[in-house]
Amino acid sequence: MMPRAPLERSDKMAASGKGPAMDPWRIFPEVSPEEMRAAAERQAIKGKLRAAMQQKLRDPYAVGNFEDPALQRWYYVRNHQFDNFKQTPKTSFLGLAFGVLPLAVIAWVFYTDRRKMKEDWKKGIGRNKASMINF
Amino acid sequence: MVLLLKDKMAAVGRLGSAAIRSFLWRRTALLSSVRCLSKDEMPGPYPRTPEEWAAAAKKYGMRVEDYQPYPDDGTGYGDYPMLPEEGAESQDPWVDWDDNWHRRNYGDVPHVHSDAYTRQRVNPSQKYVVPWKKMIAALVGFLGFNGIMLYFGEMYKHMVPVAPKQYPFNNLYLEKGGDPDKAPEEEIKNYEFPKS
Repeated sequence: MMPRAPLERSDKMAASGKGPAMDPWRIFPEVSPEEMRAAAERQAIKGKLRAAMQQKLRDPYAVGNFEDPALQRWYYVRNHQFDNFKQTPKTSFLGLAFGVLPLAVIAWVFYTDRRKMKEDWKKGIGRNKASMINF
Repeated sequence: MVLLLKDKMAAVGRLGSAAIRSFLWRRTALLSSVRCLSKDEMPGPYPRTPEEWAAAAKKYGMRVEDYQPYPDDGTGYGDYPMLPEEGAESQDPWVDWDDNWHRRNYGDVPHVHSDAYTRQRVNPSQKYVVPWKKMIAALVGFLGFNGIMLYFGEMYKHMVPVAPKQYPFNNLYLEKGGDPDKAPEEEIKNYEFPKS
């Protein structure tokens, strides 16, 4: 998908009548040439990937399915996230806030409520009417 | 032609072995080494040198200028690139994608959180019709108003005024087992007429 001629020559080709009258790489005047070139490079990479896929797909002697290496890499990264773990203040804080604190809070709430309920039973008051947890 | 039993069994055996052979032949594709990716092609640790940077960009099929991994602060993904947060729903539906359901081409680098950004799930790049602040204000306003009214309503309750029920026949004196000899002389009246 790279432009067949450099952008400077397409004007001359259009003027002489050999090339297309409107250069497709000059349609958007607000896009700078560097951005256009970057887009062309990205298109070239995509074209190669697509050609590779089409070759595997249309091979008459191929048998079975073929995988996408990009997806294989995605699966690998998601399953090997701990390889890139480092102990930093941020990770320590996140571990405490999301791993330790919820469990500790819930355990403390349940235990204190149950203790109060047992004390009420011993006193003869009955069930703690204000408790919404242990019922 | 009369087929003897042994001929029939031989034919069945030949067909069976042919089937097994083709079954195994098709499965050899699973064992070919072409399908396995080497350690170089798999994601690795955060790139430190420019050479590692360029190699990682080439590995993922991106330009070196486009390639930017997640910051290496312990919560990152190694050298996996950081892509703009776009959901699958935001991609153009009219493009001939290789995978039309996920709107993705072969070899495209999927976003790290692409399992959350499917079409049935979150779309972080969608635009809301109503501004975000207006939505939050409406929700907080409605729920807040409900909460305030409930709170003060529990504090200051009011009931419909009710009086005890009035019965006729001297408040049902005889029906309640009163002694007829000891009945009151004047009838108990539970009503009165306004003195105009």
